[in-house]
Amino acid sequence: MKPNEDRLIQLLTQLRSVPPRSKDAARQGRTQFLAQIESLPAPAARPAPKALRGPGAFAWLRLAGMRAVALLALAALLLSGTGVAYASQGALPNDALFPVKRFIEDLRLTLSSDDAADARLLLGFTQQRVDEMAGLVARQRFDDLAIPAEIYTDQLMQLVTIIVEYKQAGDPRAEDLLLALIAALDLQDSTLTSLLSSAPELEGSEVEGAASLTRSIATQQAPAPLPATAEFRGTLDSLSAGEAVVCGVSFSLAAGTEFEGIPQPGDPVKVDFAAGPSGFVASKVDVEGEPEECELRVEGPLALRGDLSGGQPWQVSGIDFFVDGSTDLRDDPLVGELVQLRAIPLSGGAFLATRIESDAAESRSEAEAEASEEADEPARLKDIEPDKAAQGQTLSIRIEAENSHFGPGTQLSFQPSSGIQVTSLSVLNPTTLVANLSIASNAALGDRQVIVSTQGEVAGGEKLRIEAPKAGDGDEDNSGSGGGDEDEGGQAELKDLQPDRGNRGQTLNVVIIGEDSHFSSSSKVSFGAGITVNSISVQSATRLTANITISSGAALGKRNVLVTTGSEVAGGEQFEVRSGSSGGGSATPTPDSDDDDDEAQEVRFTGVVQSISSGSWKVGGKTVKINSSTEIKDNPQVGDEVEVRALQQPDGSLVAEKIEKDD
Amino acid sequence: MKRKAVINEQTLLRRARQWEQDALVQIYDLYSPGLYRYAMRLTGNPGASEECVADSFERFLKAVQRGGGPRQHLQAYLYRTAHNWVSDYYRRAGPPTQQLEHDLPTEDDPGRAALERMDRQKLRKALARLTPEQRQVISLKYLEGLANKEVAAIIEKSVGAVKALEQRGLSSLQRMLHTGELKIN
Repeated sequence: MKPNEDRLIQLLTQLRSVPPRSKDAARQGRTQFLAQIESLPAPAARPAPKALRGPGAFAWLRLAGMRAVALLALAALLLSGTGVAYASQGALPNDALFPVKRFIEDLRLTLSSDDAADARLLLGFTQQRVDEMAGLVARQRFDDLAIPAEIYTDQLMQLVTIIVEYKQAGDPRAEDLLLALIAALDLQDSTLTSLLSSAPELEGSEVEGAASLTRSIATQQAPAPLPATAEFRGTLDSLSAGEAVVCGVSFSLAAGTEFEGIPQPGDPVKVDFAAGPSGFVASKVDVEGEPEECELRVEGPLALRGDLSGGQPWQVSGIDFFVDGSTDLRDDPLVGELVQLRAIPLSGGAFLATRIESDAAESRSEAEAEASEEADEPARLKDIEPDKAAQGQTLSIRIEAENSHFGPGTQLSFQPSSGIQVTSLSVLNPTTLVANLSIASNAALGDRQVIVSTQGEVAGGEKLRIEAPKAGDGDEDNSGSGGGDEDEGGQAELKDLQPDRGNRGQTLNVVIIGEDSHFSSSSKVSFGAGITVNSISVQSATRLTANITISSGAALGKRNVLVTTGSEVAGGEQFEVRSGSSGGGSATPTPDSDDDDDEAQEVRFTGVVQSISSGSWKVGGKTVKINSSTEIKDNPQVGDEVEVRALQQPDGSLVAEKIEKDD
Repeated sequence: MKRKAVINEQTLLRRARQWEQDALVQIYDLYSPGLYRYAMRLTGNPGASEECVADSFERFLKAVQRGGGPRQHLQAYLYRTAHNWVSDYYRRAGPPTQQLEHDLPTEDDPGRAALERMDRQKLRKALARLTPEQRQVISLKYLEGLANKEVAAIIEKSVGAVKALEQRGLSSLQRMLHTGELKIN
């Protein structure tokens, strides 16, 4: 399998190359990009969270570096308890001095030392808002109630956010603030409830909303965020104290809901959420989410499997969704299997699945397919070419099988076996092998069962017939397509191998010269067991080049080389496997030693630099050694695409001659 | 030869978020060639690939302009955007049927080149039959030469999941390329 994988990766690497990009098109694209930059307004500066909790009116002061002296002087004037500032404290919304009152509040928040101080100020301000609502109701100015109610909600949520942040950070101030908040809310709740009962006009008003929020927080009934099991991306429609609506889908915001950035309506957001008993509860709202599409993504076990026509819903992680003909149902998941789901929202809060995937289903179908192949289809031989041989003949045969797993341990035998010797065997793939046979001159005539065994697998069903030699048939070295009746004209044979020897562990190119042959892209080359043919390239009908790797365990000595093209089998040349020892006379295998006669092969390839160390680089998955003579051009860095020229050593290692950036 | 400056992606991103034109252009110059090659390998169509690059960068610009977009993993963000674009393209136009091969610079050996070309065509067909995620992982790893970590950032899965998808993809490819109609030479 390893040579196959190497070949696959070699082919994949070749796909890296693409035609050169049109310079005009590239230039045009860049120009268009520049024009887009120019046409879009610069993004609005987003203030830091504390500034955002405070009023927007003062963000510029912070960004400008806060001219502290001037500001403090101003503050001293405003907070001195005299003049307009003092007078404004009793102002109600839409009164002339109300903006001054709010201005002072914002200023105090801006000048506060930290979030805890902000929280204490906010506690007081929320009480101010409740007092304002009471004042407006007393004056029957119901139309103005929306102003303090909205500010109240906003300030209350800022306060809660500070406490939650302290709590998450383990800051002990969280407990103190919480106690103060609960006490304040108690009072505010009772005031607001009293207002609501005294003025029926307030039913459905902002005051009712504020009272509801107060009660919810005061009684600690705000929904706790559940661990997120799903995410939803889309554009934020609206955001209020207790709810975010994204692409029409409503998410409750709990006290512990995290915000990354402050989303504004129109922003692309990603909401991490869980489906609770009363709807979706957001655990995090992130403005960094990717834009545009409204999409739900969830991964979890399939709890309900409805129908495929959009009638009965399916369910994952508590979320119902429908499946119809438009759904990309990549697998057919079963209830309980882990699925990855993508869906879009429909009106009315339902979802339509756009894609459902199940790793379990994939594994299941693969396992079932493999099991069924194994169980139902026994290996058997389906062809032997040629299927006749003459006494005294040496020949090559090609055997095709189905459902077989020919491999390194595959053996070929005949029944009865006497008089036939298998001199070499090469497995071309799991269903094809070629073998050299030597038929004894006194081999019994008649049919022999052909049996191919691979570990426990036995494939049979084909016969080889032994016949008496015909007049004119050679009695030795009669390689070719055998003693078949259809032989006519010159038989294909091999005339030369260049080189005709190689060392264990070596990868090299061998040029094979044939005569009367018809080499083609479908030709198969066999060097026998222990030599893998990595690739061939056919130059002509009588010349091809095979790239081979000799395994370190390949048998030493000479072996036949065969080129099979359809039914044509050309042989007659031998290739010698040597140990690679430099002594020359020793037969002791020393697979890792160098042979003085061997020449390194030049190889070139391109790839991305994956790592660089002093002695070697890793490029496109290959390790190349670097030495003092290696030429490195353009100072490539990790991540750059480079072209490598290297020498492949007899032991298979690569020594770089030159590495340069490939632009 | 010019020495390539070490580019800090985070710094570039930070500057881009402040709408510094130099940084935005630098990002375009840095990533658009790779994005074009990525689209080209998947679509085989130069016009579509240019469109993919343009749309991906337009999305990026608009996201940054709105205060969104990536805070990190800029390259992953752009590849993910391009991949989504290509997926949409497949949905609109169907998988590529046109000749994707072109003349690779090869040794002066037309026979070998022809053989290799046939094998590459079979490999492309086999790739098209993988599951989309397997194809994406194999493409990003072997065609784009990205590391597992980078691939994980792009497909928003763990490195372990990337390895599993890679193994399953390679096994499927091996199965297709060593048996049946796509059997290679």
